[in-house]
Amino acid sequence: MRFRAVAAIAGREFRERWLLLPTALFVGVAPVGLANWYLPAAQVAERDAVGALYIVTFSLLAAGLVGASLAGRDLVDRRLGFYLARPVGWVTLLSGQGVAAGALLLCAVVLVILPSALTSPELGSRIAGSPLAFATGPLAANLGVLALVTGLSAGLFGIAFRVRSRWLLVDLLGLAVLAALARHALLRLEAESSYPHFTTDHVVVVCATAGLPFALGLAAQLACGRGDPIRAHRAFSLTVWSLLLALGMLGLVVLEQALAGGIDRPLWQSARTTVVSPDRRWEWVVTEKASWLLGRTAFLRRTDGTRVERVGSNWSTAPVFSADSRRVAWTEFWPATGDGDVVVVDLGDAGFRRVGTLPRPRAWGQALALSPDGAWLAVVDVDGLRVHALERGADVAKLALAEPARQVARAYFLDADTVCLRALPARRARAADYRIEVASAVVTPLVAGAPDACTFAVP
Amino acid sequence: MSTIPLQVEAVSVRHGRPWLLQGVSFEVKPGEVVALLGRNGVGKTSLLRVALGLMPSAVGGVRVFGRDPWRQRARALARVGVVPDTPDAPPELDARGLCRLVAALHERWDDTATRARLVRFEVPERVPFARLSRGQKGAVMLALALGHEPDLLVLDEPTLGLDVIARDAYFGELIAELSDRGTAVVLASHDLALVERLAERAIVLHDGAVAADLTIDALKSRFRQGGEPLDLEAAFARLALRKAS
Repeated sequence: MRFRAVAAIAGREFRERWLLLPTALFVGVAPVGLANWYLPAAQVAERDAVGALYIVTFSLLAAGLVGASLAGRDLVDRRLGFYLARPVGWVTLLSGQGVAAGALLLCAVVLVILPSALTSPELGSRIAGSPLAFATGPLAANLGVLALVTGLSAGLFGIAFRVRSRWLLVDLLGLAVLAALARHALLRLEAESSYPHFTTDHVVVVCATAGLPFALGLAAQLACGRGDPIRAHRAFSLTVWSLLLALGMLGLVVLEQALAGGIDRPLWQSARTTVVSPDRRWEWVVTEKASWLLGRTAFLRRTDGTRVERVGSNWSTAPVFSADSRRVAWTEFWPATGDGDVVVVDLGDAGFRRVGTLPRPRAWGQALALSPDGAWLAVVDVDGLRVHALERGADVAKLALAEPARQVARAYFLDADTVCLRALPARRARAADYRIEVASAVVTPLVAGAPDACTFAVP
Repeated sequence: MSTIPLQVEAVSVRHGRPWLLQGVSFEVKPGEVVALLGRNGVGKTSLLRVALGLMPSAVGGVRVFGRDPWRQRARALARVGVVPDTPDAPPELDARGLCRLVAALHERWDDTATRARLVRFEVPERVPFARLSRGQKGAVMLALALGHEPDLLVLDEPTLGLDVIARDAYFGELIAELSDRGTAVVLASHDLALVERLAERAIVLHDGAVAADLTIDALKSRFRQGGEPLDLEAAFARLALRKAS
């Protein structure tokens, strides 16, 4: 491989597709500009969600187009095309095209991200630092990997399509059958999700692991021009799909055995966070190991080991139990979009059921509290307190704090009608404590540590 | 390294089930100009593809200066210039840009000689390739193929679509190149006037095999009319008809 030739080919391929870059810049500017045009300033989260959607969609679309236009007609048609009439080896040619595609995609992704990231600091920090809900690592890095896979797949299918390979039908059929198997497995897991050691993560990992050699092998066979592309495609379609489908069927059998056999592995040994209910019957566990696609995983488990429920596949805050241990509440959120829900689950003997969900409080530092009987849920954010009657599904009270807080340290029900909370005011370093009587809507500022009933355990 | 520009040894090529070429063998010596003749679809271009390492032969093999072009494409083609049947180059690049790009793909490159050729062909330097005429595109292709001073030149229907004047300029450049450097040439063409002027030997393909491998004069004298040898076009037609019947 000659690096000078690689650079020349890469430069030429890059220049041929340069229009992608101004397009990326325009698309990068558009989400923020357009969203500012038609969305009120208060709806920053919506604007950022629109921006993130634009960024992801454009990046993947660009990757698909670049991938499909690479490897080119010269390779497929085997004509004496421009490069193939020169002393250029296959490795040099593909390296040059690959470098061009990578550089082009990198520049396009940066250009599409940059305007939104600069004009919206929150979106910028999410893109740079937040993991996707289904993948660890920053959004930008995940986007890069997804773009690479999309480009490679588009290139391969582009070649198969160009050579009019009938085995594309086999690919589509295999893909459909595999998707049906995966869907069946997911439904079974959903229905019998008592065994957290066998989660959807494993299905995804198996598919990805099997898919990787498929993609690489097909790439090597088709793109390197060794042999007849249709014959190479046929060989790979037959071997890989039969292998994948056999593995899929085997996976289903193993899954059914696992579901029926009650294998229970000590997942709890790797618990990152554990919260035990007041009656010590339930334990909230967040596993230490971050799963590849689904993020950390949260479980509710009976301490006697008779029951395990997977309650959160995404990021969750630590839960609060009601004093009677009948209910538990926590916040689930999706860092990539800023969305989230407050989830309340009934742990009664009648069954494990989700009582309801509420929108997540506006900013970080919120606190949750359940009334002793679990009937009310207090959601505190920087503006104030909202008390929600869970059975009725309506707010009982909305009360503002004496001064806006930048963080709420803790909140709890003192009795059925009184909430105590500690907040860190925006303009003072010292914490402010409040005693709030919900029924009469009286908010009383307290001196921290005052000798009344509302004394805080956590400073 | 072998000095023989091209050795084709019992090459057989199949497209799907039927054999396109079977047991084709010949050799091109340094400085020799060989025409590859045959009717449409007989396998001339496929044979050139095998020779240039673009497809493998099912049986047999090809050596370009002693190297297997399928396995060592870059090295085998380092001393080979190729003019494809359809002028094909990045459409947005002008002649200068094309020279720079192609120079980077070759180990050696004579930029002065290439520019001089382009001037002789009256190719504007600043006009993108896409906007050149058919004749100018062909001239650019030839200039780029000769820029690294190849020892073997492969021409696949080089004069297709050229007018008389462009074709004459083309001939002139080729003849000058041949007389200056003694480059071996493999020429696949239906333009028998060009073949008659340039080639000294003709390999006629018919039905997937070599039907004749003769000097041009021998081929013409093999078919006579009224005691006089036929011209190449008539001789080729006679040979093709005889083989077909």
